Amino acid sequence: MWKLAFRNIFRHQARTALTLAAISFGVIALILAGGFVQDIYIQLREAVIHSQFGHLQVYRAGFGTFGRRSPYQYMISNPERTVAELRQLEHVVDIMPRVNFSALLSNGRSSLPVIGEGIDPEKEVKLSSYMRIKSGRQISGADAFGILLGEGVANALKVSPGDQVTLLLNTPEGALNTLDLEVLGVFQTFAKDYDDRAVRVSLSAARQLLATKAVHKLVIALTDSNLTEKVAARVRQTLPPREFELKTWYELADFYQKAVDLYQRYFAVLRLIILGMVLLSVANSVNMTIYERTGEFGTLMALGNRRGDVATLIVVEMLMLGLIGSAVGVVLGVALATAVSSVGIPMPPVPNTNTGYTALIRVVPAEVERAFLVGLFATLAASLLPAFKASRRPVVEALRHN
Amino acid sequence: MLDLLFACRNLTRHRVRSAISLTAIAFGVVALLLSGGFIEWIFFAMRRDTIHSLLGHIQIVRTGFFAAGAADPFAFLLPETAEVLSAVQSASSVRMITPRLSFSGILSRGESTVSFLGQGVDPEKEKEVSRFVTISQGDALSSSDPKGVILGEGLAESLGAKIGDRIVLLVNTPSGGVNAVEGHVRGLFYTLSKTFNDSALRLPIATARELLRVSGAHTWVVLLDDTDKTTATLNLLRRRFPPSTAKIEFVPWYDLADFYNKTVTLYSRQMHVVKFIIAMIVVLSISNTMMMSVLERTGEVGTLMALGFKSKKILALFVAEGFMLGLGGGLAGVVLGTALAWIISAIGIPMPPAPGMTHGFTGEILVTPGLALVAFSIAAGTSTLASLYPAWRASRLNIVDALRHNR
Repeated sequence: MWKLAFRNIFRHQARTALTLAAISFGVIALILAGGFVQDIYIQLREAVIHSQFGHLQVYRAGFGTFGRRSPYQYMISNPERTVAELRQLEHVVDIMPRVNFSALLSNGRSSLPVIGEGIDPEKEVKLSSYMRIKSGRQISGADAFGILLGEGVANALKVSPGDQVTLLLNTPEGALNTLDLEVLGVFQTFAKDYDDRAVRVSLSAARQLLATKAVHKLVIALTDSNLTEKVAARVRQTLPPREFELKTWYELADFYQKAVDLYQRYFAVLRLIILGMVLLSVANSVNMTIYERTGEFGTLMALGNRRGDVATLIVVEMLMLGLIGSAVGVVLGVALATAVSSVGIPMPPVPNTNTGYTALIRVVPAEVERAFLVGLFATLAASLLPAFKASRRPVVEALRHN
Repeated sequence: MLDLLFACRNLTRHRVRSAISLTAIAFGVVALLLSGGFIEWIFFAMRRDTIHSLLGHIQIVRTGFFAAGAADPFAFLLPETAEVLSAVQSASSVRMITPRLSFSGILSRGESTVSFLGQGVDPEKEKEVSRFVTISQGDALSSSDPKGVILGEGLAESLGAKIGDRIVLLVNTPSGGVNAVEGHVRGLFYTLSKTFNDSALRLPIATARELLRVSGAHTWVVLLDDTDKTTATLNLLRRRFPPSTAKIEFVPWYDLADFYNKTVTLYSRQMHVVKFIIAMIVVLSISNTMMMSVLERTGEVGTLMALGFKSKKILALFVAEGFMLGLGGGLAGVVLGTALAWIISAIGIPMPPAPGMTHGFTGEILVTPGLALVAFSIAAGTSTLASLYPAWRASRLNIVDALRHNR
């Protein structure tokens, strides 16, 4: 049966080639589209982690719920001990304390509300690989009174590196405090709304402004983003839950979550379209084949083959076509993806971002596997009805086609 | 003409085969109409929401306001009344013109303090201009309640403010001093921009002027009766008030809608991919059908040639068949797609909030004539192209060999 089916599909090479082309094209389209979407996830993920959030953030318990309203009541008062504890964990590259504050930034003529972060310059520069310094320079450990501005902040206040600016904010005690700082540099991340509001100062300057030794959060950087879950579980075991709470980067990245949500839907529709296409093209050629071979099936049945045998023969032929077509599609798709990735696709800026980026096509085993299965099952599904119909034809009538 | 009739007859000879090809083409066209129509609707809804919540159609500002205004806002104030104002108001396509005063400051409620971006607006006129500033709790601004402030949802949340709470607004005045006003939360609003919801508040412009100790406004927002008239009205106004003499500039919404423009660029590019996939469906399905048809009708082609048909004529005949298939499938697809779009729109597609938004929305599908035309042309064009090779094969057949197929 298998041998016969195998021979049959090579009897009519032009037709087989066309059917194979349809199946392979579908599989290739799935691999490329899926790889493209995967790449968006990965690039967005790394950008989010390496410009804003790090992999994990540890807060004082209650910060997530009440921290926005009364940020100074939910600070980690003794960060050194916790840092030492967390440093023992596997896959942890670094742990960085941060202080957050919201303040008014003034250039002397007007002021702008900003969201500020006090950071440890030496460590954060390593983490913030997706933060581009557009002008000026990075903040360093020696810059106690320097400030980095987001691109939008710098534009709005018309200040450039070297200018003096003033930060005005409420201290935890309720008093107003100001600090004169020198603009060191202007940064740009992927997120325009972040650049429009964010400033960064050194941890020592922030502590002086707020008159506190405590910090708001400890940002943990990991060796690999895929280990986030694993390390998060470990951290939860290590730290007493009554004192601390933990958030992963994906819980913090609202933009990322929504983008993934949207693309998943978009991709589901695309997959449906490709599935429909494979089904229709395959149904088309299967129908052709079977109509043409009516006489042959009549002969088979006249020779004593059962109706079931004929139906099985047809389905087995199509199964083989599906296997070959999908395999060819996988090979070509992976090759194409690799070729395209080595060149890169220049993309326009995504909404809410400032700069375009170079898209790649990732080859993800799970996506490739799914594309292969879609190709195979679409072919199989398309062959069922015609196979059934062909095997139900009265033998005499079928024979007359010869 | 005769060719086309002939082609039609040939197609009806093998109903199942023609039907399957037609289905494939129609499926492609429907897929294109629905996915493209959904994106058209997103463009449409986004444009509408942006204009009717943040931008209006045209903004009139002091020359240079958008470049340097944020750094020195009080240098770019427009007067309270001007010749321009009445002239714009009386222009034929203008429905309304309303002043806005923008400023920033610190907002506090009890112990918590956050910074904000404020807009002083005309409560009555703004109701119409800002149709898509949705009031989720409480009431909209009213001039009978001068101290009633509406807050963006995100801003209210970071402050922990609820309807009726006392709040204090603290700002810098032009003289360099600090001024404050006590008000109460009258309502909460959201727009399609999360950034705006997280940082903005609105209050009656009279109160804002008192608070900042200024008169006038930063922008006059012009609302037109039709978005398509933006450019025409813009040119008219620019001619009447050249920037050199009037010291004001007219900025259309599309120069300010950065988010909208980037969305259009990105989605349009993704649509090209869908168009390509659909063109491939059509090509594969048509070449398959036509190839079968040629192979099966070899004898017939031989007979035609023996009767004196030139090979060019044979070529034309098969291409005409492909064209007719594309035409029929395209038409069926457009009709079916439009009907489906209509039904789906009536039900609505529940969508999660897109990146940069806080609220989900109900999507619809908007099939524009342009889109329908593109879909139809892709169907007709590619199916004609795909039939070229099989047709060429048919026209190259050797008469004697072909005739031998007739048994």
